Amino acid sequence: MRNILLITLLIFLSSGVHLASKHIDDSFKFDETEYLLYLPSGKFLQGAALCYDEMLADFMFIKTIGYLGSHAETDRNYTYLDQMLNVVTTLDPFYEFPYEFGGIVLATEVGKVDSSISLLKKGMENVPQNHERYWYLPFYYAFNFMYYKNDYLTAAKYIELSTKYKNSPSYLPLLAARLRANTESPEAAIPFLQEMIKSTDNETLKNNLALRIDELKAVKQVKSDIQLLEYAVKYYYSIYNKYPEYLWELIITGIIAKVPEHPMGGSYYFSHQDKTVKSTFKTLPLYIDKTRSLEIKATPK
Amino acid sequence: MNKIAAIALNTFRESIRDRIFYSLLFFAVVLLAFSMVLGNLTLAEPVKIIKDFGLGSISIVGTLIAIFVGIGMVYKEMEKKTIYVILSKPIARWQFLIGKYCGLSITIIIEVVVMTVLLFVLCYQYVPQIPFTLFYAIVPIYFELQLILAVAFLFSTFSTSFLSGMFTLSIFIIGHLTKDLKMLAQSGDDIVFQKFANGLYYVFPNLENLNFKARVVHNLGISLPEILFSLLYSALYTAVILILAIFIFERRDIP
Repeated sequence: MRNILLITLLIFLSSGVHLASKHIDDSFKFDETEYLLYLPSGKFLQGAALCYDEMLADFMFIKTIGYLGSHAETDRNYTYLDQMLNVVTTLDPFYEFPYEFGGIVLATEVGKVDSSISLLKKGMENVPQNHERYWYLPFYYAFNFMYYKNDYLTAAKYIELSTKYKNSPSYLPLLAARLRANTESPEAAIPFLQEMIKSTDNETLKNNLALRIDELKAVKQVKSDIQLLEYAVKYYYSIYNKYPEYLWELIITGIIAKVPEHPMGGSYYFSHQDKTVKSTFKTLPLYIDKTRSLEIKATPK
Repeated sequence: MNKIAAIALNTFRESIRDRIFYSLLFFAVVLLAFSMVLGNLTLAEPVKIIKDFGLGSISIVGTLIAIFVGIGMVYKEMEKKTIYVILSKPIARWQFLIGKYCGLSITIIIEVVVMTVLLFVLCYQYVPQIPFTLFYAIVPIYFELQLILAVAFLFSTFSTSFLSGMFTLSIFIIGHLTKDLKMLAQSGDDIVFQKFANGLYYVFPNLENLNFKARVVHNLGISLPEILFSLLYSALYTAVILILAIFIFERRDIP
């Protein structure tokens, strides 16, 4: 009888525990920004962790991945991401992957290019150079300078640097040469983005990067279409001694068979003001750089 | 020598029968198993997390064993009055103390060996080769545990179990902070603070000298002389503490 009473009491109390826990979870939503607001600096945690800095860094990095994942699916607000990555890399400065991961995510997903650059720089200073993925750090550093800062010389310098480390791909010297030639062609970023896709397991990031590649391919297409139309306009001018009012006049006169289809759903037109062919898409559909207009134009030679 | 060995053997038997030892060992195994879960949650290098947690567990649990089993060893004997029976035999007090210390050292070796084997098995699951380089971190951890054990013994010769535990834990914390404190003091202008930090640095053990975990996990070059000198530092410090403990214990009135 006593045992039955005890078991009943145990079941009753366990149910109480479960219900209370469920009520707390449902009614009192924990605001994670509240605790991240008070996230101590890496230097402080380094002392507080005694000799267990690396364990704490591992924990923090897993939390950082979780933070990115939860916000990528909801508000895409990553206010504390750079601070979290900074704590991880201060606690364990030799840990290569957080630099690589942060370097990509901060620039491409969060839009904090300067944070990405300083994180990658910190990585290059701390990660041992014989690490099998070390070359990724100067490589992504170069990407940021080429893609966001339009600084092709710095980009070329860091691509050349990454060729010196083991496991770096064989196409890098060619890429560096292209950047040194100051081609300023956005499609030079495609190999960088393809490498980023290979290096990450995060699906959201992979899709985002794949979209960027599609954009860049489209940009390349638009460039070549405009170049073709410019030649046609030049030819039209040499015959009729005037510029065409509309591009379809090039078709009527038999200079071209048709106006190429715009890859991003826009159209091409001839601007009499500049005497150039232009695209109706002035910017790409996705964020690349607020300061950079992607209007593409070519002037007839 | 035989007398010391007999006490050491008995201490070893006593300590491995202690429930605290098994609970802590169980905790260590759980911590190691937890590292596998974390390894799966991260995006790259799960072995790195397993190594971090494996080495961390050996150190945390070893420290707890050294403190919680070590502090009771002398005090318990006095409280239970069994020390009268032992000391009435032809055995010197220093032999009693060293015997006790050696017995517990063997207990800690057992903990370190069990955990090391488990860690190697786990690492082998991910990368099929035995990570012998981890010994560069494990051996210094063992020496650190010996030092902590000696400190626990020192306090237990003149203080209660609770106070000895607190004191030893404080020494462990201070031991890992003196280097930072010294660097912090040097970066400032306060001369008094600089002298205080220097004093702490040289009086208290610098346990960071024995921390090679990060460098081993990341395969950074560690020179053998550096490790050997760190081990020598630790062994000499341990000997000093033990002699101090013997000095106090020899002069203590046992009621």
